[in-house]
Amino acid sequence: MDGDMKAIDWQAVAADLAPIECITDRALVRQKSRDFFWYSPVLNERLKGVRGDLVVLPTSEDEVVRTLAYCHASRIPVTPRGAGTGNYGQAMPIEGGVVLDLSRLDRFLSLKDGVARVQAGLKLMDLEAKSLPQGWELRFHPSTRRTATIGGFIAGGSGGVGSIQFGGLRSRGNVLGLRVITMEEKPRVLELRGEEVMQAIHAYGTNGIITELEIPLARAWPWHEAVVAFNDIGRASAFGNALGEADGITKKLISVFDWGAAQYFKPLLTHLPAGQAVALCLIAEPSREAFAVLANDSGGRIVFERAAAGDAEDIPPLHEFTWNHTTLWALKADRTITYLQCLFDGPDYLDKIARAIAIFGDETPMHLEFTRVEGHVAAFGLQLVRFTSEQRLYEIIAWLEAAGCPVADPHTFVLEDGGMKTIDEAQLAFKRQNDPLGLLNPGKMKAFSPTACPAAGRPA
Amino acid sequence: MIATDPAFRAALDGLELVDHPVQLRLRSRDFYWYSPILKAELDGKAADLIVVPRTVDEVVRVAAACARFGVPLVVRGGATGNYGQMVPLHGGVLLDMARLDRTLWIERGRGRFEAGVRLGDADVLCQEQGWELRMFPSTRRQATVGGYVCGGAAGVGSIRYGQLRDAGSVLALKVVTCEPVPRLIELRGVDIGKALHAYGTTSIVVEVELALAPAYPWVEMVAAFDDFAAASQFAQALGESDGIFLKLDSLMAWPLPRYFRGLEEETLPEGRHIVMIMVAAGNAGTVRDLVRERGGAVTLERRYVEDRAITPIYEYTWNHTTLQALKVDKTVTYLQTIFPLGANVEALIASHEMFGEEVMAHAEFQRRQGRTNCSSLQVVRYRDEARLWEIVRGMETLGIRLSNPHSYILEDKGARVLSADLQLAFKREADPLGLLNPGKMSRWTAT
Repeated sequence: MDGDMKAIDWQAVAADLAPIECITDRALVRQKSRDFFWYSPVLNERLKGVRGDLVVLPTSEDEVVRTLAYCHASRIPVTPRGAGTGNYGQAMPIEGGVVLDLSRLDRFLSLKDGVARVQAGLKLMDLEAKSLPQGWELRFHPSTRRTATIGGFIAGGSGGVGSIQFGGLRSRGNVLGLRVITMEEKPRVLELRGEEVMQAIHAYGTNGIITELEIPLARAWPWHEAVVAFNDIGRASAFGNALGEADGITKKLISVFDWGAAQYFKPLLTHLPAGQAVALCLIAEPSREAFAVLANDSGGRIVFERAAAGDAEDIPPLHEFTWNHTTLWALKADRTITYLQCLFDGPDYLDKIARAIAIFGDETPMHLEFTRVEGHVAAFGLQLVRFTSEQRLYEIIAWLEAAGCPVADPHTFVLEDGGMKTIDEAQLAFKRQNDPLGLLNPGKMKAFSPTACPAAGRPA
Repeated sequence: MIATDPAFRAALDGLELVDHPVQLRLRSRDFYWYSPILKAELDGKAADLIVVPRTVDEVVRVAAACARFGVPLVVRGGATGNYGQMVPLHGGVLLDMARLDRTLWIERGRGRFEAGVRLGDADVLCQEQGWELRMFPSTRRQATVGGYVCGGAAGVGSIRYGQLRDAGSVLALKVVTCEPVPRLIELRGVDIGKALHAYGTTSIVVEVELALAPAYPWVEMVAAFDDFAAASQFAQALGESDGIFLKLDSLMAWPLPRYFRGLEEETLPEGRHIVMIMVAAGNAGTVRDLVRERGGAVTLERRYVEDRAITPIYEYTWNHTTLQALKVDKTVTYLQTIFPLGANVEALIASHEMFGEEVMAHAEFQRRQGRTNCSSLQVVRYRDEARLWEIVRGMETLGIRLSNPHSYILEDKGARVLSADLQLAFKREADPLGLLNPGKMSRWTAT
């Protein structure tokens, strides 16, 4: 399809779409075509040249509908974009075409009984700026809370800070409704409720454009940040599990790192004892005392604590060292580093972690995010990887898989090869209904092949 | 009788004393009569004198007097226990905490209360500031904060926050020792175990600091199922749904709902097993979907409101379930059992099949060590004691363990050895004469 795109006069497309704002400036379009795919040397090779041809910035649902109808008629691929904070090229237009930047669709529509209805492009931080004064906060958010949009999170993310309380986006009850626009001659506006939302969650916008969503919030706690240091990673992970399972201690974050990973946390380093493993935690104020007792009983030492940070402090909020931010800190110091995503689960999951550490050592500095999965505590491994070759990377992945630690490969932009593992039949069926020509974020859903699609071009 | 000794009375001069025989008998009882066994053992037990302190200083005076004169001392909260926790076995003084009822402070997710504050009042005061109790017993309207931490274990809210004994639930206890010169001791952290769930045998709890939760708008729901296994699996799945914010997840097998007065007939359809639920308003729709998916029907959905005129659904759950049955049928009693983690639903279904309507299944789903499990307060059609123990043995073959509700002995509730050791050691220190609630701690009695 690349070739077809070149034939299009994008200035003319922009003129056709007016008064919807468009960006044609090549540098800006390139910038708006990228995310954090370069965390992965594999994706970096494959995606570094990717760029869209035109950025369209709708400010209303009507403008989204108009854009989609136009692009459908012109057979122009459309890739939706939030803030571009994904890590696997979720929002990258690998076949070019239109980048549908939804960041202007940013209205906070309502908050009632703790249920927020918002437009997809609303930034997570701005959402909380509206909800916190009323006593509500997000159940969980990615480490990119400052920049990410809620729509981008739901279409491209899975969990984050708060998942130790509420599980992830796929846990029933965390997303109540989605408003989705289809990619058809006459785009339809769908309201998905209840479990129907799973058709579009973490589908990278391949099967509809999410314009509005409804999510239940959590009552806000006064949070407290703490870093606990341990002599070894084994003790630190046992502590992470014990804290996760302590029903009386309210927490929002339990992230565990060995020194190989923690050494990159530059602004925190004055507080971190060299060579030690650390747990970065967010604890509800009334749980501080019980937390300190548990930390001490687990052989840990609290080396840093403060009330949850404002934005003006020297040390960023602790959550900005966790989840996918960890790899970013490492990459700032060492461009050769990349990472993995696996799940340590089951009754012996702490043993699995220990075995992975024993076999790979400093080749994969350990990074664990403790989380609730289907009613119990488990840990995501977001190990750093000292990258040598793609072949070695996939050897490590194969070992983890064989050891019973499923890997959500972060080195692929293909939906099914990442976290989903298998074809999600519901998502595929939903795509067939909503995007029969395969124009939405093409190339990401492997199982889908479009019905006959004539060449792209402006409508006559 | 020492409690009527003029010298002893003189030591209590100026305190509110009650010694009317009817009052002595009435206020010396709790809900032990749920159990025909305890009823036979405890009927007629009464204190000789009731003292109603208004301040901690007055509690200290009573403790000092009892220690000097060797008078047994038993503490009474709301007397909503079920095993005679506060029934005086050897007479003496009954310290009625009802007037020690000041709320000391509520701030940033913590609240500190005098022992006699009623849980319902504490909860409402917290809610006015945006907080609420993490958990409470079904006797919320009558029970006191002090009585709950001394005699209770879990309750409405445990599906989210676990057990009262979990670290971080109770933050501090201020206790008075029973010595000629009583000491005031602040217990925090692991030391809380010295007095928590000790039936007041180790010291007198006068203040309680609790961790609170932010207040949610709650919705009460009842879901009905044709099939008991489906109802059980639903209740477990609900408890395991990390994205559904719950406060209550209680399963009652038919014909238990037949005993529930005050709910509409269509809420409790004939022959159906029900699950009673409190869920954050934002997730009510999620629960509705899950009920439908599992083949059930939502028969009640209403906003929870603080209203004396309405019986909240939690008053059909936990230990109220048995009470509702007893109101209709005096011949029933109950069991209290603990289920095997990870296999609780299978055990629940198997026990239902094993005993049919003789043992009406009632399970309270709750978090234990981060997982969803249930404990059960089965209602039993009582024949005789021999048959009751036969049922218990049958349960044991399914991996279901008894936490004996037919005994007033502390250690019979399956107290863990560690906390029993801690409590025994603390009793030696804080009640050297063994005057506090005598006869309840078997390891003390044995020495």
